[in-house]
Amino acid sequence: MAEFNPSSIKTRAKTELDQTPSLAGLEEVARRYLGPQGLIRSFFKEIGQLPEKERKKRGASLNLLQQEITALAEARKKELSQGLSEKALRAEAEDLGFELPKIGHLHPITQTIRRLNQLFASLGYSILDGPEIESDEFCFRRLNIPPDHPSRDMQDTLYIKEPDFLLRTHTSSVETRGLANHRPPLKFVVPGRVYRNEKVNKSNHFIFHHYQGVAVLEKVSLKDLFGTIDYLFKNLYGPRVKVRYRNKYYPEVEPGVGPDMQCFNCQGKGCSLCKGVGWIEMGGAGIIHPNLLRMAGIDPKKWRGFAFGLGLDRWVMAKYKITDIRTLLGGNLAYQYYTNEKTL
Amino acid sequence: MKLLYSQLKELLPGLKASPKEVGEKLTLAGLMLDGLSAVNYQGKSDWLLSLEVRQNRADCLGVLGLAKEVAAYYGLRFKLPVVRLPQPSQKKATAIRVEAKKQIKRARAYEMTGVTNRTSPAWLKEFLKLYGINSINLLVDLSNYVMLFTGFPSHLLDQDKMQGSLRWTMNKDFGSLTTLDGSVIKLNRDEIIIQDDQKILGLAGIVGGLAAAIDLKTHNVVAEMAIYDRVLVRRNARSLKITTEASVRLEKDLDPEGPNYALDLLISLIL
Repeated sequence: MAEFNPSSIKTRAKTELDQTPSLAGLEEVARRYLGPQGLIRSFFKEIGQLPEKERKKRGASLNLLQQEITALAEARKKELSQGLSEKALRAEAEDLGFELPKIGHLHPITQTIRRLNQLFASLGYSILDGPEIESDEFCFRRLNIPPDHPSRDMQDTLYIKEPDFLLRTHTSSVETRGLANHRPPLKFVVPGRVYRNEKVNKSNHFIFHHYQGVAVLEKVSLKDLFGTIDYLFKNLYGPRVKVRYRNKYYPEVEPGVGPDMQCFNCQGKGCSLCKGVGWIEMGGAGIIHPNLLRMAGIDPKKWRGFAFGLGLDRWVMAKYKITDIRTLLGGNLAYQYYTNEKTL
Repeated sequence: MKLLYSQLKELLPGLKASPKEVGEKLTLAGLMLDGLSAVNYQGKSDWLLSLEVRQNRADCLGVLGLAKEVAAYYGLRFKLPVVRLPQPSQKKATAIRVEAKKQIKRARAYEMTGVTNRTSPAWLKEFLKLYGINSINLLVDLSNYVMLFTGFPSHLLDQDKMQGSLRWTMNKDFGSLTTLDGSVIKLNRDEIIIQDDQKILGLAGIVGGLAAAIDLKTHNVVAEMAIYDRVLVRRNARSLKITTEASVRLEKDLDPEGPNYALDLLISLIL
């Protein structure tokens, strides 16, 4: 029975994939690892020879390895196809006597939003949009944040005409509109730009982006909320991501939850990215406070919901190694980051 | 809100968890640890935990509140430190007049005569410094100490600089207040204030005035602690653009029974 060393297998696979110059060759390499006569299959066949208590663990390792090598092959395939077409285009342009302009791509935040939209659409969620210039009513009061309440201090609002008209400080304002304008059962997400009175520097801006999710159904529990958020993070950051949920107060939910992701830079040990904590705050979530439902004319005894709101900018920056948040709103981004998606 | 590990262990002798673990558990419970630093306190190595206290936990804006939370998490017994006050020498209650009755939930005051003020001992100066508060003099420092310890702000006045009794009113007559640090604030004549029979003594729940400020020569002291209509304190603080450690607490719903223990503790420390 051959020795099973998943990390060396993975390294070998990556090297072989990277060194393959053609798509056909790529298929060959992939088949050697992932195919029905491939390496992984052969390890699976040998599971029966292991002592009983090791089998489950081996099976899980093999599944993970299969996922990882599949992802590597996909990434290499994408690289090759893009490279080939860009190379071919450039060659043609040269023949015709001009220089090909640099080809741009969608903004990384747009890419992330589209990916999340697709993910949630496949779960049966609608995608809602709402005004960026908002009223006090929908941005605060309908979220269980009354005037003169200390919870108003949790955000610094930019007013157009105090106190009635403002720039929305979170996409939760569209949550309240969604609850008011539609009857349950409801499942919707809201991607959007939000505004807060922040000093602009490398890591903060007064313009940033949220992704909100809301589900109001006959029966909903924290397990459903955690499962949904886990699913979201795994999709964005890969199957190995670790998420924890802690108690975190927000007036619009009860109980309130703070999802934290384990710092991918240091695997939870503590570093400069996560300020030594090992965990990164991703946003807020929880079971929708009955006051919100009541204010929307929904009977909290018949319907229950969960909601989450996640900040997009910092994590897009971390994933694509963009070090200054101001870059996200400038024009220089077009040529500066990878279009290949690298899972963490 | 910061928490000194040695002080936590003093209140909870049964606590076995390390500072890091206490921080982790409090984080899960809703009070996120956003800083843990090794400090030197009273010549011994110690740990200072910095916790994010969100708007729903005004009770945790004091060391006692945080200790209760830790005790609840670990199932430890928590006992309030015992406070013993000497018998008051006068049977008659101190004359304080609460004229703004609707805006005040609770007001308590003590008069102390023959007090000696001086500079604070090293431990108190060190303690306040951990919380970013400068030492002024012993009396003022003790008032700040009790605020940090119990979560209830208080205010001390030099009685010899007062004319008549301490009154809580809605401001109608005073256009400005000179605060403790000398700056002059224009008032809108609609704030809740403390005054005596002649002059304004402070913005209730926010900041005290220079007029009756405690200095090293003070001998007779009025100590007051009150809980107000939090909406009013917040509105006043916002419109006058002042934020203080006191206003941050009194803007939230504090326990009106709190001043029972907290003010007594302050008095016992002074005497």
